[in-house]
Amino acid sequence: MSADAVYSKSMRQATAALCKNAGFDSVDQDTLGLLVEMITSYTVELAHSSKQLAEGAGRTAPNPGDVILALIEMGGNVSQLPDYLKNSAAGSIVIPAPKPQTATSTVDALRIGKAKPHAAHIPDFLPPFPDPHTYIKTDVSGDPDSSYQKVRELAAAQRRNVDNALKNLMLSTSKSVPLFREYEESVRQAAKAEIARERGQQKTVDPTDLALIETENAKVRRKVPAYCQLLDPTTESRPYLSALISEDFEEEHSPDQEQFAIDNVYLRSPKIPAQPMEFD
Amino acid sequence: MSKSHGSKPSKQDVQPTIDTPRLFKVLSQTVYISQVDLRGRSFAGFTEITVVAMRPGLREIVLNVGPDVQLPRDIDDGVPRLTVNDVDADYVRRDPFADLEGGAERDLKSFARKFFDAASTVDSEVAHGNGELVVRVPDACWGQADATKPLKIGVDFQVARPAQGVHFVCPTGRDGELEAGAHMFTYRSGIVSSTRHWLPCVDVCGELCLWRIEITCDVAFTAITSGELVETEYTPDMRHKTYQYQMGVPTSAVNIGFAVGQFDISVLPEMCEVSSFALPGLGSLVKHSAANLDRVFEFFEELLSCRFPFGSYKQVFVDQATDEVTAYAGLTIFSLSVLYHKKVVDLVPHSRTLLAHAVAQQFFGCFVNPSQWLDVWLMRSLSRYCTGLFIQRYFGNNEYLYHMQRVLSSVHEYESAWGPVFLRPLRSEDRAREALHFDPRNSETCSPTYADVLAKKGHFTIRMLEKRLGKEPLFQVLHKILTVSMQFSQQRFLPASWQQMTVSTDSFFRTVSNVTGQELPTFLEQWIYGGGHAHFQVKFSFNRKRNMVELEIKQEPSLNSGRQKYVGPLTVVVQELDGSFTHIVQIDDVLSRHDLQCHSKGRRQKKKKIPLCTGEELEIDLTNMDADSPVLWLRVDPDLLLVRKIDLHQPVNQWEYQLKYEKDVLAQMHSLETLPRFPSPQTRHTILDVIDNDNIFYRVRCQASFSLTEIANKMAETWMGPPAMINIFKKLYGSKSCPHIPRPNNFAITSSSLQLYFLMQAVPQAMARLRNANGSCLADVHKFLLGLIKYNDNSQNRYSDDYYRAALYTALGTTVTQPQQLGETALPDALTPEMIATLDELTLALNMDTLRPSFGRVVGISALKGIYQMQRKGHLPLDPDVFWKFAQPGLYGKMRMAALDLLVDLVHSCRHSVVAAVLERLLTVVQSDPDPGVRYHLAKQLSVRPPFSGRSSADVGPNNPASTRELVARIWKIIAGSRTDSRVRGYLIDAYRAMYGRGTPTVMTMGALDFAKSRFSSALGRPSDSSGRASWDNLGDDSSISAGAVDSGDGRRSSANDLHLMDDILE
Repeated sequence: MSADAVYSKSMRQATAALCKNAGFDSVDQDTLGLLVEMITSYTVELAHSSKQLAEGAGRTAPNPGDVILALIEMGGNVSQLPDYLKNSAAGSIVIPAPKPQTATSTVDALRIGKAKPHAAHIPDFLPPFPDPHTYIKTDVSGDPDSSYQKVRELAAAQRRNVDNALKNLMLSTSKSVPLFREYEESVRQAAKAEIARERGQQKTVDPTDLALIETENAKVRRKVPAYCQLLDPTTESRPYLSALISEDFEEEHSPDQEQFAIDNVYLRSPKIPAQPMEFD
Repeated sequence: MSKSHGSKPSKQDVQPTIDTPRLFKVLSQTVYISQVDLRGRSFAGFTEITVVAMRPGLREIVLNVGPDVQLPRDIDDGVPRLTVNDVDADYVRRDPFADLEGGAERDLKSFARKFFDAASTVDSEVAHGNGELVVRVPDACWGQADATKPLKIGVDFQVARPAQGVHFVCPTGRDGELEAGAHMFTYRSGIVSSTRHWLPCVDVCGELCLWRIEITCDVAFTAITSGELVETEYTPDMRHKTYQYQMGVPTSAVNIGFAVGQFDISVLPEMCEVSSFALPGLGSLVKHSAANLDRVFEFFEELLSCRFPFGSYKQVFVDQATDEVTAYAGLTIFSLSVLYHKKVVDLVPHSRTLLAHAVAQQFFGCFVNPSQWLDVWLMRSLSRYCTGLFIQRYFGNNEYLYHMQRVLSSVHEYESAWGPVFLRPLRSEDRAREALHFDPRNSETCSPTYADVLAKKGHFTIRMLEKRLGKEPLFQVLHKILTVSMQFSQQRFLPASWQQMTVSTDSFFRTVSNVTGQELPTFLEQWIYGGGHAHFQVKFSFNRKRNMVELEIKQEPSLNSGRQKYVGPLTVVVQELDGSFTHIVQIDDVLSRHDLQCHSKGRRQKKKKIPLCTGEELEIDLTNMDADSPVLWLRVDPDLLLVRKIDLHQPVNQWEYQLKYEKDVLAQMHSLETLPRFPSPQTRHTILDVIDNDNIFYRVRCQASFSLTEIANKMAETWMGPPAMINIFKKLYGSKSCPHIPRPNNFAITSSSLQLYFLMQAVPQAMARLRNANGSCLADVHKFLLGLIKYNDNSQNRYSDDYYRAALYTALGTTVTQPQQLGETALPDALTPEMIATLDELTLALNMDTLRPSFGRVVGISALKGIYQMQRKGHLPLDPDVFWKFAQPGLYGKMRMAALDLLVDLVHSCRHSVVAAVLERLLTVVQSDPDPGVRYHLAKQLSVRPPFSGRSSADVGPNNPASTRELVARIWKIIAGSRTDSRVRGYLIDAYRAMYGRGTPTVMTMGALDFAKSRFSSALGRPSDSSGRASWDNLGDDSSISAGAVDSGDGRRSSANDLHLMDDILE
């Protein structure tokens, strides 16, 4: 709860207490609000005037005299004040002091490690240090294995992983040729039977459910290792293009030679036939 | 009436044009092609052939035309006509192969005769009046004909869905729309020509005429054909273009081809007459591949001192081509597989050789023509010979020698397995047909494999000729031939002189003797008109008393029909302590003995340098020598002067000396091939030194690693510790701090770097063949190879490592051996951890190749082969469907062929019951695959690795699940079918011969009861009596061919297949 809300709550309570003291039993919400506003603005005005009076007198903080003078300036009857305080003191309503709120600790997302405590010269209310890893420097202890052999091994393993991932992805999404045909068929049969059994237990048959195929394939893949599968070779209308021009062989485009300088009959433009004359 | 070619050379008329038996001469032919419909696979055409009768009385004009060409009577729309001088003429079509089926014998012996006779009826070389289309000269034109004035035959024709000769490639999207890159092109389905399958013409090599070709196609397309492009013009509706070509150099129909399609042109900046055409998207590849062509032209023009004969040169790179190179006059159609990317180094030598070979064929074959089929070998040999010199110039003498050695071995391997190759069989003799299972005297009946070997043997023979005559005289001969052709090609108005542009075997050798003054009767008889190769078994010993080497040379010509009995000189070079001495011995019988005088006299104590044949002097450590003999080593026919195979016996230390100190790469290779017979720590050490020595030719070093494997395998029991090859690899390629991790790849185009690169591919494959005493792969090697694959790092490399990775996966596949105990193979759990690791690598490689294809799919192909190995060795269940998946149309051609090869191998080597169905399906692919390249490749593979071999008794007929009567019937139907593609037919005849021999197949001769019985008995495991076994081959000499020769050949072939390094150049 913000400070303003606490103050306005106290103001409302105070206003309501004033009303009660004045003899009212109940007060309308809107009226109370209006009253609170009026009292607030009155109080603020009083405080301002007091402050100005104090500054006019060469002081930084107002004293009771300043306040009284301000009240007088605003048209208040100061002489009645002691009586009012005497009368209202008895049986008056006590407004409890607002409870000090326990600061709800906002959970920092992803805090890693413990922030360093503030040094002695830094006040506690300043925000804590950020995550240690963002500014802490630690000396490397023990040499990482950067030998030639290790690097080559890692590079090879990485290449292999990339290739394998691509291969497995393609195997799971496209058609394949089994190397163990009979075995794979029997596994597939078993998978089908199992799925049918599961379906039978569920008793909800959705003919459009594509999950059936998925699970069957998944079951087969689990039992038949990937190295027993060949990707179905893709037929193309011009297979020589992919076989002769690999994507790795990107062309460095050399500027075209001046073809116009070469006299070759095939480069000449064809003759346009003489149109037969048309007679009416 | 036959031409005079059958007669002896000297009698042949010098000017065949004067007294020719030809009835007419073609002067010119005009071709109009329009309505090119790529999706409908058809086009329409009109051709006008101008002929002149050679003598009065011409009433019939006979042309060649294939069964797929629709002539006016077959065409529905329009008013198609066949006219002579604009008068409608009657015509008759003949189908020569309508009746090949024959009786129930189904034997190749009688089929060969029948087929040859049928093919001869349409071969106008045999008699000028043979052909598929007979046009009756209308009465109105008789006067013209009798006055020997020109006659113009106009023919409207259509070609729709041709089965051979023309191929259409139409990439279509999912919605059936035509995509970019549609094209069509002509190819040779026959050995010499298949122009007749899309154009009525006189389809023989020797008939030259002038051409004018107009092709109208869609504006988006380009039409390329032989001749000079005169003009391109829009049609009036502006939706089509007409390309007008003119061929001013007399050319035969054989050398006319065309291509139409969506091509991007690139022009060689240095030579604007050379245009290359690429399919959309491949422009940069074509530009890069063709970049060095100007040097090729320069080389050949300088070599032959003759300018390029045609006004322009066009190269078109097409998809699904049947051959890597198809040469037409001024136009070459290449397969896409010839292209290389600038990041791929492996293909460069091969591709450049092919591009050069194509240019060489422009000179010999397209410009200078063979006068008939029987002389085609000469032109092909000359173009190959010139290409060989290109190899020598650009790739070095060692490469050239290595190449020649390979040519030689493929010749004697073929001859040992199939029979003799006659370079120029005489028309009048049946000798060639008697020796072979087909008749090589007609291009239609000749086997395509034979034709290929023919050109190789010819190439080798031309080189022999060069060695005999000297290089300069030979080039004077070639120059003379080219000059004469050049001169007569200018004579556009003297058609009779065009004949001078053709060369026959006789006229060639006549020119040889005119220019050089040498007659070569023995050479001609032995190597040109005769078939077979020489086979020498050479033994020798040193006789100290006489100070002589006593040499014994044995030939066994009767052992197989591919051998000849050689009589004549033979060079023997003896390297002695005092130098190298050449002796020429005369071979006069199947067994001959010779004494060779030695020159060195016991001066071995003195430390002295030893002179070699190259003139160099070397210090040689002589401690291993036989103390009595001064002979360091001995070589027989070192300069490849004969078509021969040599089995030389010499002691192991001499082989080692030869390997270490002889500079000739062939000598080193020969030692490496022989040394594995002598496994010892000493030979091991010698070979290790070779692998390690970077002064040695890289191919020798690669070969050495394989020899080392062989030796190590023979010494498996005695050897402990890690294999030596791992250490070599670590030393050469390992990183400094941890040798088992190879350095990141960094290829460079320097000779030392390339040598290391090729060795880097060979060594892993060699070590993968290492086996321990149990016959399984070494665990160290397996682990090391997995490491090589895992740590391979190409991120910093300028070049692609696809071929290297492919080599590693091939090596990994080779490590797979039979499991020690056969377990349940149908379950993944039954795999051993090593096999799981192998399989994991292979499937990952293959899957990644599917997702991110390597260049030419080499990695995927290697991985697929590895998976096949795992199936064959019983680690995975045998499942042909896996390979069928990769053989389906729509995948890259090389991948498909590799998968089909595996299936062929499965049928060839496996006796499981699935093979029958696989074979059935393979035959369907052979018959009806959309890609003719795949059809031919597969048919060829079936002949090279037949489903079963008639030679092996366990395999023949009854006890083989694949061998059924239905199979015989099915293959026979293809062979005897009238519409069968001629190359497919040729290959299948070879396969049939390999399976059943030349007689009637055993399964056919057995009664049904016998058949069932023998099948039953074989099922029981008893040796089948096979009642009809003797009849599988009617020829005695055939069955005496040792099965070993075939097997060893196969084995070598398959190991060579695995090795990218050993790929065939010019094959």
